[in-house]
Amino acid sequence: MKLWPRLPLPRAKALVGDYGNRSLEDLQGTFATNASLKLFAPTGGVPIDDKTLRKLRLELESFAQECGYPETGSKKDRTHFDELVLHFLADLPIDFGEAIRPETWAWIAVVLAPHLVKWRWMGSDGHVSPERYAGPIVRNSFGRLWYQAMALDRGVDSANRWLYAEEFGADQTVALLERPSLAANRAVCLAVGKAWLALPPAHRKEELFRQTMKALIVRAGFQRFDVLESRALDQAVSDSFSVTMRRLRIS
Amino acid sequence: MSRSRPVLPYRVLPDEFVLASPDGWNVVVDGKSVGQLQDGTAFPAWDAKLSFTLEREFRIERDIADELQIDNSENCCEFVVTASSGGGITRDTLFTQPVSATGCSCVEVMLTPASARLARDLVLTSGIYLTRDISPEDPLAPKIAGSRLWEMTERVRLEGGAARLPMYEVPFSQFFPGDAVAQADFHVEIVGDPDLEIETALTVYVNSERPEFIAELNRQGSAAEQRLWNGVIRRVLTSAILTDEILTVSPGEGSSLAATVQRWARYIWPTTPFDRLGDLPLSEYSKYEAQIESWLHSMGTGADKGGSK
Repeated sequence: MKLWPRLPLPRAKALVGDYGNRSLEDLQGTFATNASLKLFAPTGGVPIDDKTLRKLRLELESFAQECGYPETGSKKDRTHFDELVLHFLADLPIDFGEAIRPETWAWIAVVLAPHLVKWRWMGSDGHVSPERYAGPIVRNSFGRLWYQAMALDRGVDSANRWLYAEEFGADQTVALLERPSLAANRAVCLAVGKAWLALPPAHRKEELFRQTMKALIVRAGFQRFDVLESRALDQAVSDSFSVTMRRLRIS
Repeated sequence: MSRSRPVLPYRVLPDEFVLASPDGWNVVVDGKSVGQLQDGTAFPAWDAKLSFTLEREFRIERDIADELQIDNSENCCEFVVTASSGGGITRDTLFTQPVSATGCSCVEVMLTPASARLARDLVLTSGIYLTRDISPEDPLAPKIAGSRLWEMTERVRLEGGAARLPMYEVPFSQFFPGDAVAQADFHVEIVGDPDLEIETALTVYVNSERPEFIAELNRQGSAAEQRLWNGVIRRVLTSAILTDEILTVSPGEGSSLAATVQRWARYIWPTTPFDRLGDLPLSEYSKYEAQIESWLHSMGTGADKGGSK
């Protein structure tokens, strides 16, 4: 097993304190200057080599350049960057036990590629929320994409493997993936994707999605989705969308 | 042992309806029993390459159909065990077996969690659920597939591969340049997010440039060890008191930063409201320090290294 570098979240948050004042070019040098900020799990495998880490950085940079980096670019460019990174991270050879640790993604975001995080997320004032560097997985710039890939993967044999990841907007993704009681089970995520795309495009309102996720959480309190067979699960999710549409008077 | 207790809109089975073997989950490695796992305990032998099986017996003591007032009850119930890990980030169904709704029965559960998909914790939820929609005459009987009839949830900490509370040995002069801590023996950093699990929110560093301290620390029960854990608890408590938020939020999960710190504070200052604790170090600093020290001494080692006290 390969061990990935980790950066404890307290240290990560302390480090990103001044990132707001630093240029993209300056942040690009963080990997070289912060070589000592690599902590590994004390046992359980062999630390990953620097060559692999540098290659990962180059891959991420190439996606950003394809989307206009270092120019600010449009929202569409940044969304496209997310898509490219998501597809890449889905097949990244990282062990699950390493990937589910926010400290692993904090190291990638704070030390390996902070310039890409800043480019992807900075507002007009240059500010980036510290969570994008050192938050929980569902908020970390790269961790959230790995998690999305894990939850929304329709399978390598699927004709359109990333259909749901592409069709969900950022708000829908957050509404689903930040609710672990739903998102922790990929079958539930895929059922949500299927039901969502079955709706007429004009009905796919952000509010409908958000309210349906809330309704599903309530429903999950008495109906265990994990034990439902595929068709019953699809029906339960679809019913929840229908009920919410009626409640919101969407027709 | 914790059990889900949602208020359900239908009749459910009481906790004692199903008897789980009292010793917990039997851990089997290479065909040999190597120990038992119970709710709230640790699994220190685990690592990401370990192939292991968990075994346990559940006895259904009475008649499910009679208890729930369901008729037409053939093939309508199953016993399921799901496993979630990584703080709930992933969840898999590992065991499913139909159970008869009539009469008593025994379920021999054997499940093999994939170690590669585990990290930090393993939460096992054992339950009996309806497998299909049914139409009982009794209006309070469960009706829809997936209805939770009985559930029991147990959490085990996976400790192999990393200490529960992260502790790193680093050269302070390089790791904290400019912080003027190069000669310190240890340092504690805390994320101010009260909802984070304590092992994520709190990091302990020991200074690899202080080899005498490290050497003494490695001797169990040494003065250095006691000084370290006393220091960790003092610094965490004081940071929490000074930042206020950690003590005033709802404590949330039992292993969160807020829950742990509030538990410590309640032990030390049982009658002082949390929102008044901030006054203590400001008004009577020495007494405040002495109160913490007194509690640490009363605890013997002064160490609650994982925060589960």
